[in-house]
Amino acid sequence: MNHAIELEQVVKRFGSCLAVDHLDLVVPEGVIYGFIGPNGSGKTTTLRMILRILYPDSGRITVLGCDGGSAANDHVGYLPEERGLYRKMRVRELLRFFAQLKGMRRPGPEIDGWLERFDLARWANEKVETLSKGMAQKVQFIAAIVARPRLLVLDEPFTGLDPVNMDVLRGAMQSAHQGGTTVIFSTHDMDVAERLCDTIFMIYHGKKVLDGTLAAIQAQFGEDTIRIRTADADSPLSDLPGVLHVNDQRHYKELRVSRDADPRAILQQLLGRTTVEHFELARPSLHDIFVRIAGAEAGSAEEAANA
Amino acid sequence: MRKILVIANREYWAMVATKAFLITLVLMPVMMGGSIVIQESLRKRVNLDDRRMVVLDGTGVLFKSLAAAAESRNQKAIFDPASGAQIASRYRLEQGPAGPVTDQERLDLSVRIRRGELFGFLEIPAVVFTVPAAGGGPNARFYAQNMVFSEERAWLQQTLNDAVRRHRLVQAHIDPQAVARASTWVPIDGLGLFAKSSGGRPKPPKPANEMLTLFLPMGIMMLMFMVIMLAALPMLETVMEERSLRIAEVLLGSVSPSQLMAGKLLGCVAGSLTVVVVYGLGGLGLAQYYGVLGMVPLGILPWFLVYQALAVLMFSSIFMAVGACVNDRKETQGLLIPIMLLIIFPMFVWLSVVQQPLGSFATWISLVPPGTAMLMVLRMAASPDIPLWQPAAGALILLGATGLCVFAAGRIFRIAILAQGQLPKFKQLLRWVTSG
Repeated sequence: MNHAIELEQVVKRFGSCLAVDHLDLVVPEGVIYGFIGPNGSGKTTTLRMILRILYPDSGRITVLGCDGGSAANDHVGYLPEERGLYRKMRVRELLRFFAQLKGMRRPGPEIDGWLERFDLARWANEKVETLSKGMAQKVQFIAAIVARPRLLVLDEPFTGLDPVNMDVLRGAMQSAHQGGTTVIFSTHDMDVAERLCDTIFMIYHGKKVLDGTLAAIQAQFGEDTIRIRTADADSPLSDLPGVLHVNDQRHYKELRVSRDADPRAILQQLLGRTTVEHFELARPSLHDIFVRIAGAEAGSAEEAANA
Repeated sequence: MRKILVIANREYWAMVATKAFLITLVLMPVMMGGSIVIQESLRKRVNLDDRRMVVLDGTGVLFKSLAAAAESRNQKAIFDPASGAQIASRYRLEQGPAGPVTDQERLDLSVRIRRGELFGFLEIPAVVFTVPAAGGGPNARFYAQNMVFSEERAWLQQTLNDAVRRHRLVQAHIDPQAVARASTWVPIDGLGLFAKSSGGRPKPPKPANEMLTLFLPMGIMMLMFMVIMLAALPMLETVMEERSLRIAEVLLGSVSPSQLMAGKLLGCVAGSLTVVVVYGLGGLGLAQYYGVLGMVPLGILPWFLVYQALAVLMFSSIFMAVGACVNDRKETQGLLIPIMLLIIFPMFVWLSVVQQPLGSFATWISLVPPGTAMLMVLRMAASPDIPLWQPAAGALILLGATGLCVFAAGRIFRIAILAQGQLPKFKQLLRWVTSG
């Protein structure tokens, strides 16, 4: 399989801050690759280096076979975390501008097709400043995808979208993937990452801490999680034998247990305290893995992002 | 190159297809020409009330002459020869008490002036005909509320002196008419130099219009100023928008910082050419209308275009660097003041330069950037005899300075445009420029 991206021992500093620390990463072509990590861990810096917006202090980055300059950029679509649209330009004119920057000569039919698909056709001649946040985000997504890139880099694409628009964007992303585009996206939403990504990469303090399929990552942690649903929302469970940590979401709880803990003994004790509606021995969720690695600080950041 | 043109095209239309640009395009000449029009219209809207003035004639003989001159003026000079409409006030002279003037009389007359019964009073000393050996004569005095720029005072001064001179000549047994004839003024017309025609024959210079000789070069310099302001200043806003809305990040995902900057500068120069075309055609149309087209130095047009392109590049790149560094308009103010001073500096020295365009001050000041563009075209418009090496040297020096500015601004731009946080300090800017 060819590689869309290869990073070898990539280092990037900003003054005294080491943003990316000897990072190695290989993204095969044709996959959906999720970048996760707490705020300030180096995700956006890594994405910007892949896009040649920033250059590494050392190490090598190869994008679509090109390892220098910005030769590959015409084949790379980019949706930044903070939306970047000229407010005074009209939607179609703006999309034509971005498409032309990617080397398209007659992007008109492609633009109209995407505007139709995203229900934005009647806004085509309106100025960007008149669009709602969700509409502007869809326009930004079209700008990233209109030139049919071989690699699509999306930085927090679903932030601030309502469920309907989230589905529209997710559908577009998946159809681009089915058309052969490699998709990389960063997210704080672990559920989205679990559902959409073939491979997940986690960066923490500039270092790679996870890289692989969800199943492979979960396998590293073993079946050390018990998911339960109880009738009583407030029964304390942290004192159960072998329970290391409780992710308490009132009726739904996730217990992390030690490797030698006996699930049957835990179930028996539980039944003595409350009515158990659901009991499942499972591998840890991506959320749980994320929190285990990044700690409470990152966990609260993610919860804030999901709120 | 294609991407540079795509960016240049966007920049061009973002600049010229805005209401702000069109309004400024119209407003700039209106505001600059407006003051002239307002002054002209105010000049025409004079108070036509009669001016009553008392003459305290210490000689006892001059009042008659002054009154006759005033009457003669009231008959003719206060009417527009074309329309016959009254355009100036009548002067009504009233003879005051004879003999030495006391302060009490002066006070009484001042009270009448304050009450609006009189405009002013003139005090002519009895010894006005005596010419002292040193050459200075005794002074007459004019009292009024506004006497400094008073037309009345100027008229009285001229008329009184004519009368006194006539009286002195008569006293000296000289015919005043003969003296007047002998004193007929010989004006000197200002002309440029002869040149060789295409056939090798001497070609006489065109007669000069003194006002045009002064103000036409200034107009051309102002055109350069307006072009710089209209084309370069919007760059600040655009880059600020790209930085604050993170558009730059998307752009840099498609083009290199150098391509982005080149495209922007190209768009700016194209915008400035539009301004030149609009104002240039407008100016030529006006010149044609007023029949002074022959006086417009069209030969400097190629130089104007070269200097305009270089100046726009220089100031656009500076504004671009500023826009990339600042987070909001407040931060812009502190950085803009020194840059604006650099742009308007030629206006502080234009009069000296236009009066002696071939002088050493004008020569050297016009070779020092960033004022080169405005001052060199000013000199070339003021005198056709500027040696060719000077505009050529000025263009080369400006080219070098523009290159330096674009290089330094480019280094600042590519770092600052993606940076977040505080406004960079001067030291930091210097480090970005020197180490990239």
